[in-house]
Amino acid sequence: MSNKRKKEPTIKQENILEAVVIADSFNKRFYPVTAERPRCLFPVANQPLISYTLEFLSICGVKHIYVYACHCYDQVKRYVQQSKWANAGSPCTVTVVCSQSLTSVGDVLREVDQKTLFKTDFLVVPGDVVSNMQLATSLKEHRARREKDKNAPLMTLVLRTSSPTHRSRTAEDDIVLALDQSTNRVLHYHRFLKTQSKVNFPLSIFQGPGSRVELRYDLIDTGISVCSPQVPQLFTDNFDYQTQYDLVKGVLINEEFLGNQIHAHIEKSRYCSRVYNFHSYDVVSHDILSRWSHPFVPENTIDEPIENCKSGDCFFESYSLLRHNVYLHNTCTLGQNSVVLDCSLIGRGTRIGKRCKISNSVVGNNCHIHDDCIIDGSYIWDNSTIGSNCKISKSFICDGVQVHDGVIVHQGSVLCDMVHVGPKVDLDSGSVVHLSTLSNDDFDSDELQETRPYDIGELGDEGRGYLWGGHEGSESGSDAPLVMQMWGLSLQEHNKLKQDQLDDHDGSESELSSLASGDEENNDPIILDDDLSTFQKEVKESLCGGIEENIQCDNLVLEINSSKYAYNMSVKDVVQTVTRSLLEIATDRTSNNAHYFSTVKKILAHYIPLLLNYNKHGSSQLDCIYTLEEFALNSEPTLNCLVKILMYLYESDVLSEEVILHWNSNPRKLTGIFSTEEVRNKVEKFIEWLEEAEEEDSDDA
Amino acid sequence: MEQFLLDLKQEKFNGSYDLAYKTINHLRKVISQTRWAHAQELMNTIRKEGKQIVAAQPSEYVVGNIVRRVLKIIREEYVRLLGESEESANKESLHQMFTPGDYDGEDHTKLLKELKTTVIEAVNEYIEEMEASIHNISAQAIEHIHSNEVILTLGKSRTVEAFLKQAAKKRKFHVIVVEGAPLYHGHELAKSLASKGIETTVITDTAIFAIMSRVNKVIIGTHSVLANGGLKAVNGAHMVALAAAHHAVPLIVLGAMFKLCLLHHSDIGGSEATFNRLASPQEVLGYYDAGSEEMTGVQIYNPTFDYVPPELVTLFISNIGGNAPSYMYRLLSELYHPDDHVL
Repeated sequence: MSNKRKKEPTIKQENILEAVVIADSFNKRFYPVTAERPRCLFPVANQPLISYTLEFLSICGVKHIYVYACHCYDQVKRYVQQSKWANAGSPCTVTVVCSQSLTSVGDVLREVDQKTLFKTDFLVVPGDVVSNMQLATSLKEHRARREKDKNAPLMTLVLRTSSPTHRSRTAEDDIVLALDQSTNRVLHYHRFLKTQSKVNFPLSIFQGPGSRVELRYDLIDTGISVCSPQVPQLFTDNFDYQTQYDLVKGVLINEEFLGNQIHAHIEKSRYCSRVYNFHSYDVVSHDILSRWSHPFVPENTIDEPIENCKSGDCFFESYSLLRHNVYLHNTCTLGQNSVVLDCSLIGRGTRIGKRCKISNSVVGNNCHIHDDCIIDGSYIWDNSTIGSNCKISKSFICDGVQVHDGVIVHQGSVLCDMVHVGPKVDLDSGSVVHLSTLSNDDFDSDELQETRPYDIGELGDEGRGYLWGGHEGSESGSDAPLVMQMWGLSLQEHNKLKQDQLDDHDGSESELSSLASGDEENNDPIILDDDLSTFQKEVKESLCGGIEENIQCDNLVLEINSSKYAYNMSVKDVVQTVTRSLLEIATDRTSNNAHYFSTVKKILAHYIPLLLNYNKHGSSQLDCIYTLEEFALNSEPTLNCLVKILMYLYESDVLSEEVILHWNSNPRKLTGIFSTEEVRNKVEKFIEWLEEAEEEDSDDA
Repeated sequence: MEQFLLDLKQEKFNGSYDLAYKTINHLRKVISQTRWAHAQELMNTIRKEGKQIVAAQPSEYVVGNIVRRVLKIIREEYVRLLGESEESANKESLHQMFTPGDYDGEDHTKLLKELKTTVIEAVNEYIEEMEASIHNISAQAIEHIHSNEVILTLGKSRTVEAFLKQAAKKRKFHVIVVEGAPLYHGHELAKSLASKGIETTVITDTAIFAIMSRVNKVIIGTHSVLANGGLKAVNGAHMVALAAAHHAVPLIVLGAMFKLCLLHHSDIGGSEATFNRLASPQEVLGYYDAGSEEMTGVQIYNPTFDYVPPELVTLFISNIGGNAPSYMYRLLSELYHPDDHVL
């Protein structure tokens, strides 16, 4: 008996599930609304966003939740202390860890490592998740994998399926994954940047022994991951990791050395979404009202502290659900002939006047909407007043806002806390009004300059507030209209936009999955692009300096090689870069066509040893000659003297005869001002001469 | 204590029997663990607690039924301990139904030492009755199912399952199971019946009317029975009942006594939240497709319950025997005390 008792606690210890909730976004997507309030306390369907996350975790059986708060941490702390989670009967313990020094997810996990909070697997969850998933299966899978292999399986990412044109997908979270079909191991994880339309997959992932690879474009990263205790250590070891994405990339690149693996759990049936920009706020609110997040729907939530509920009557004050997903709080009042249409929610104590029409909107607690208003697709938080005859469409109205009579708010506007607008003004689409003149940069500094008078011209005679960044924003040169910049694009919109741009550029690029051709070092195509350009710049600079200061070629080779390793370039890249740089230098130096060849020859003469060093093999020589051709296609002087350049390089043994002949008979599809045929015509005589010379050689033999 | 409230809110229970069982256990805990001096105080505590748990999940009527039942038990035990005859407690019952106010004069404040133990004993007895209810219902199966009959049922009800299996021990008959989209619990029932050697056919919900002409009896379970004898039953039950009525097939409803409630359908009115339960649309159409471009603006609903009017129900079989729906009012007056109708 006594033995049994001793054993029990240890078993329990292992099964306690703990989670880290990252209650900060570390970005400014909702700025300036987030100036005074953290994202995780935004009301979504009149419940603070973080309450959905905590509720979800407690249902998944998490016993201890660490909430890491940074921006406006005192508010998060106060919320948790007053909520039911602080209660004795709460099913899990919630600890709020406050620190303003944290600036990224990486910092949070480094902090976790410092305190060595976890000895077993734990969950990392962003503080803006709305979900009704059961994490039990992904946990079980993760533990089973860990059981089999103690160290290799590092973490399990939880992903949700969604069709490629799903409305919950945004351009910011557009990913392609390569998975091993049998084990769900992540082989490659690519997140699209704004303008990219191509993905490069390293060839090595297709060459694994007997592996069957799935390329998937129907997944959304939920941000939830099951991590083993080594994950925080990895963040400490690699102090430059900022996000989970950095970690995933890092682990995948170093998989061979460190042997860590990342797996994916794909959720097919349950709901899970994040609120990370205005667009997703809109989508998630709508989903909650359409009951996708069932049982987390408005009429089921108890968020008020239970103590208050017991003394008061708050249990009877709840939402009632009417047809077409309309939720009315029992204490709200609707005037004569006012209608609330599909997917709307009206909060506690809100009064609505006569003849109003409210559709697809959420109105918070204690708001007052006067007569004859039309509100569509908008979100109004608590304690706001809307005057009569207002029209508000697809906008965001925060706490305590006063909209006077006859105001028209167009799509995509944001009115921040305590702003006054009106009467009788027309707010442009995408205008953002804030009570102080915060500029985009002083996010951290608390100096609020209140010297300038309110923007009465735009906001009306009784307006209080400033139009924020409205005009500067359009100068930033992005193609998306300001509304879209602010709200974030859904993927559907984004693709349309991208399609338009492609059409403008005679869109020749294909959409997806063009495979990188054969260089195994290309593990990371996104960074590579940036690295390649810096590498090219550096090489060009050193070559330029080499001529001016007459530096020995050997030293230059050393210099270029060190850059090569710094940027992780392949030999091919180096050959191409060197060839191109030399020609560029020549072009920079002469504008006169007549003297062009002499300049080129001078430069080449100086660098013959260097070229010989890099063009030892046939393949390098081929790269070199194709680069020459590519350059010539876009530069007339080079094209004109291409024969002479080839001749010179042939004579100095940089290019061999076979290479030149091979190049001539195998034209590649290169684009430029001139066509490849023109190039072949130009060099025809030289080729003939080469062929004759070869025949003579063979005759002699 | 609060855990039960949270579980209720988050629908962490498995069927109405489980819910009833959890509720009565919760109330028993309240009786034994809270401090109270006399019956009146205890009843006030139970009422207050009851209000909260009813409000936590207003569409689950079973919770309210159990609370009222417990109040009735306390009243009975109090009267019994006072030594009054059963007759005097029940004598004016028909009259009281119309004038509940007159009866209020009764005093429940006398201090009775044994009240706590007897109440808990009575509650335990009630729990035993609940536990035996499925067995008691299925024991009546032989009287209702005859040889070579064709029985139609909808979805999966544990009571119906036990009922059919009990009958199958003695008789040979055929069961047609309507699958019950979108949850398809009918498939599970068919599997379980077939494993007991019952001849089983599965049909789609849309084929109900077509197949009804060859059915001898319809036997369904129910979520709860309303005061007028109408049913709140699984989605599609109204369709089954209408088809049965058209073909003059008797409709038999199985349900334990705790499913009997005081509400009328009209009390519930237009509020979907208190009558129906709208689940996630996931089961109807997955989120994968529902969010795609072509589906913008399409609304998807997934209601769980149907209302079946009493005139379509032939017989209601509970653990105490079979009754016509028109007799419900009488059973209700026996089950609950008129003063407890409004908590």
